[in-house]
Amino acid sequence: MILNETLLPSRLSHRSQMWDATGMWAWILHRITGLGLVFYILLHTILMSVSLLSGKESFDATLAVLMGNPVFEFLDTLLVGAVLYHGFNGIRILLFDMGIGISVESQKKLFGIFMGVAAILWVWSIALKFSG
Amino acid sequence: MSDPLQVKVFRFNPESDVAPAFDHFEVPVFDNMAILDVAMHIQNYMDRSLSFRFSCRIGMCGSCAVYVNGRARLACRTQVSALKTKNITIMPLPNFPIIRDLVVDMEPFFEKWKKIKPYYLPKKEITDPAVIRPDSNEREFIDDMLDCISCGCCYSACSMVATNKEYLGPAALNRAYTLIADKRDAIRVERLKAVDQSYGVWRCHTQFNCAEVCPKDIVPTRSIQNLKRRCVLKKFGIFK
Amino acid sequence: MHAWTWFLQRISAVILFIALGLHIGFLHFSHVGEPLNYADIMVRLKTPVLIIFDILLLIFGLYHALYGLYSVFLDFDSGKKERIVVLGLLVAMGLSFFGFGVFGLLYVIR
Repeated sequence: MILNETLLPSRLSHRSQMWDATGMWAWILHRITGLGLVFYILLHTILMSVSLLSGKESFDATLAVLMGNPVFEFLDTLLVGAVLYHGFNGIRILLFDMGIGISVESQKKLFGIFMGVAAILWVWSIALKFSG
Repeated sequence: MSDPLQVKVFRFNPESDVAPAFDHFEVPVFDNMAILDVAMHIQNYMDRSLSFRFSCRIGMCGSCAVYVNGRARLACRTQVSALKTKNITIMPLPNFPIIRDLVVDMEPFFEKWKKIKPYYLPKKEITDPAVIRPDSNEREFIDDMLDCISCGCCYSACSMVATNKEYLGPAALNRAYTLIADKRDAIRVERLKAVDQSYGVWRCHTQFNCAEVCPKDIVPTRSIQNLKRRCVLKKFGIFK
Repeated sequence: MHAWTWFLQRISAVILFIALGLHIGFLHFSHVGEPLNYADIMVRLKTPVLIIFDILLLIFGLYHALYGLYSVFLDFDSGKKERIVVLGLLVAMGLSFFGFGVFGLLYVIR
C-alpha cells in the first residue's frame, strides 16, 4: 500500500523554505495582482460603458464619486500599485523569456531592481494625487 | 558541538500504522556529520525499522534525497553543521507517494522521465564522431545541465508538480532540453512536440524553486525557458 | 496551439505595459483635483486615433486577462471535458465583454 502524498502537508512540523524564496513570492504576488486586475478590468468595462450609455448627468455624477470620494481614491492607489507590481514583475518575466538573468542569484537581483522602480513610481503617483 | 541533535523523523509503515507520526531521537554529533550519518545512527543503534534509501554516499547516485528542515536535499551531502540548529526534522520528499518512512515511490517521476525519451539517438547518416569546435557555441549550455542524477529534489520543490499531476516537471524537461538542443540527435523535433504541451513547458512559471534545491547546481528554469523559445520559433518555421 | 497563445500573451503584455501606462497617466493623473466629466470624455472619444487606441486596449487587456485565468485553471488537475467547458466560458466572456465595451463606445459617439 502506498500512502497518498496529500496527507503530508497538514503534518509539516517544520516550515517549508519555499516561503523564503524570492522567486516563489514574486510569482504568488504576480498571480494575486493578476486576479485582482482581471476582476477590475471586467468591472471597469461594464461600469464605464453603462455610465456613458446612461447619459451626461448620470456619468458626471458617477465620475464625481469615483474620482472624488476618498474610499475610491484609496482603492485607486491600490489599483495603481497592483498594475505597477504586475507590470514590472512582468518585465522581469519577459527578460527570463528572452533568456536573460536566469540564475538563482540574478533573478533575485532583478526582482529587487524592478520593485525598486515600481515603488518609486508608486510613491510618485500617490504624491501626484495629494498635490491636487 | 557536544549537545546531541534533537531529531524528528517521519514514520509510516503501511503494514502496521493507521496514520503517519513523528518519532523523536537524540543523536550524538561528530565532526563532519551528514544527515545520512544521522539516519544510519538511528537505524544502527536506536530503531532498526527506520527505512531510507542511500547508496554511493558521495552525491552521485541520487538515491538519498529527503526533506530536511523545510527543504529537499541529498542526505549524504547535507552537513548537520550547515543547518545551524540542533533541531532537525527529516521527512520524505514532497510530491511523491510514500512507500514507507523516508522512502518514496519514484515511479511517477520516472514515468515522466521516460515520456521525453531521455536517451540520445544518433542520426543514421552519422558514421564519424561529430566535430564540435569548443568556441562554436553549438553545445549552448547543454554541458551545464547534464549532471542530473535524477534525485527528485527539483520535482519535489516544484509547486506546479504539486498542483498538477500531469506536469512533466523540471528534471524531465531539463533532460529533454539537453537532447533537443543536441544537433547530433535524430528525434529532436519529436521530443520538442512531447514537451510542447499544456502539461509540458507551458506549466512552468519561472518560480526557480527547482534551481534553489538542485544539489548539482542545475537550473532547470533555464532549460525550460529555452524550450519555450524553441517551441515558438518552430511555429514560425525556425528550428535550430 | 499553446506556443501561439503564450507568445500572444507576451505580446499583449508589452502592448499593455505601454498602453496602460498612457491610459492611466492621462485619465487618472492628468486631471488631479477635478473629476473627469462627460464633455471631456466626448472630446477624446470623437478622435478616431483614440477610439482605435481604446478598442485595442480593450482587446489586448481582455486577451491577457482571460489567458491568465486559463493559465491558473490549467495549473490544477482537470479533465478534458472540464478544459473545453472552461475555455468556452472564457472565450464567451471575452467576446461579450468586448462586444459590450465596443458597443458602449461607438453608441455614445454616434
